[in-house]
Amino acid sequence: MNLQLRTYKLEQASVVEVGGEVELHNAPQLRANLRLVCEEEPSHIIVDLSQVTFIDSTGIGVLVGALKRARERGAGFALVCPQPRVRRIFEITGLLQALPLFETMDEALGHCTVQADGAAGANSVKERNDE
Amino acid sequence: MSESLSPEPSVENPSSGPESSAPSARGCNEKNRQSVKIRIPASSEWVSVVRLTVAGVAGRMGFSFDDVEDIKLAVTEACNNAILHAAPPSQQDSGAPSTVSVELMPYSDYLEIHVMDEGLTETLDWPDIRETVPFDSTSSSELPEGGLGLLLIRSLMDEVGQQSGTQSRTCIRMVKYRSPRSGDISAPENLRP
Repeated sequence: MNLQLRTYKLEQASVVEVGGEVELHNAPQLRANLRLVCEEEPSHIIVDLSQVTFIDSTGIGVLVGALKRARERGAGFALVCPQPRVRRIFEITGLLQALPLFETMDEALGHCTVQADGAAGANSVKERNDE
Repeated sequence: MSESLSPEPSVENPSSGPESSAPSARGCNEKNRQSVKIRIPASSEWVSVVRLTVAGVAGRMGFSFDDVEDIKLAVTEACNNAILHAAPPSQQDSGAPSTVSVELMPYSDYLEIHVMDEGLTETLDWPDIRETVPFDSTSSSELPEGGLGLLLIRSLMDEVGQQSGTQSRTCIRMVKYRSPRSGDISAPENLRP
C-alpha cells in the first residue's frame, strides 16, 4: 500500500495523519511533509500512525528527525501509535522511552494540553520573577 | 543464479520438496534444493515486491502473523542497506544497473534468507554485526535518525551473519525458526536448533 498523508489543524495541534507503508522509497515524502508542518510553527505536532501498515527504520528515522526539529522550534511533539506491531519497533530500537507515544488521539491531545499548561505556568513564574 | 545483471526484477520458483539441516552449516554460496529467488533493480521502489514475496513464502510455511511481519521488516532492512550502497551503472564493470538478489530457502522448521548485493561501491557496513547493541535512550540526548536497520534485523531474526562472496558480493544471511527463539528459556529442547 502506498504512503497516504493528510494534514489538518486542531485547536491544540497540527496533525499529520500517516497511512500505508512507510519505507525507504517514500520516507522523503513524509520528511518533506513534516518539515512543512514544522515551518508553520504550531504549538504542537501530532503524528497519527494509526493507519500505518508497515514502517521500516528509515521511517522511524524521519519521525525522530521531526521530533528534533519540533523541539528546536519549541513545539510539542507526540505520536499516536495504537498498533502493537509498530510500537514494538520503537521498543526494539530503544526509542520507546525517548518518544512520546500514545495509543489514542485523545491521549496525545491531553499530553499537548499538559505541556501547554506547564509552559504557561513556567512563563507566569518567569514574569513574576522579572517583576 | 545468472551472472548477468538486469534492471528487470525476476523470480525463480521452487523446484523440489522441503528438507531440513542445520542452517549454520551452510554458506551463502551453497545451493539449497528448494528455494525462491527474486532479483530486483537496486532501487527502493522494488523493495515492496520483495516483501510481498517473503510474506507469501513465510505464510505458506505456516509462520505466525507476527513472525511474517518480523521477517518482512528484516528483509526490507537488508535490501535497503544493499540499495543504499549500490554502485551506479557507470561504476560497474558491465555498465549494467546494480541489482539485489534475495533467496528464500524454506526448510521444515525454519526459513533461511540470503540478501546479496551485486556491484557495490564498498563493502556493506556490517563489520560489527555481533556487537551492535540496542540504542540506550537514557545515555544520550542525541536520538538516532539512522543506523537502526541492523539492530532491527538482529532483534527480529534468530540468526544473522554476513559473508563476503565472489565478485565483491556481500551476502547477509538470516534465519527465522518457526518456533520460539532458540535463546528462549521456554523453548522446548526439541525445537532448539
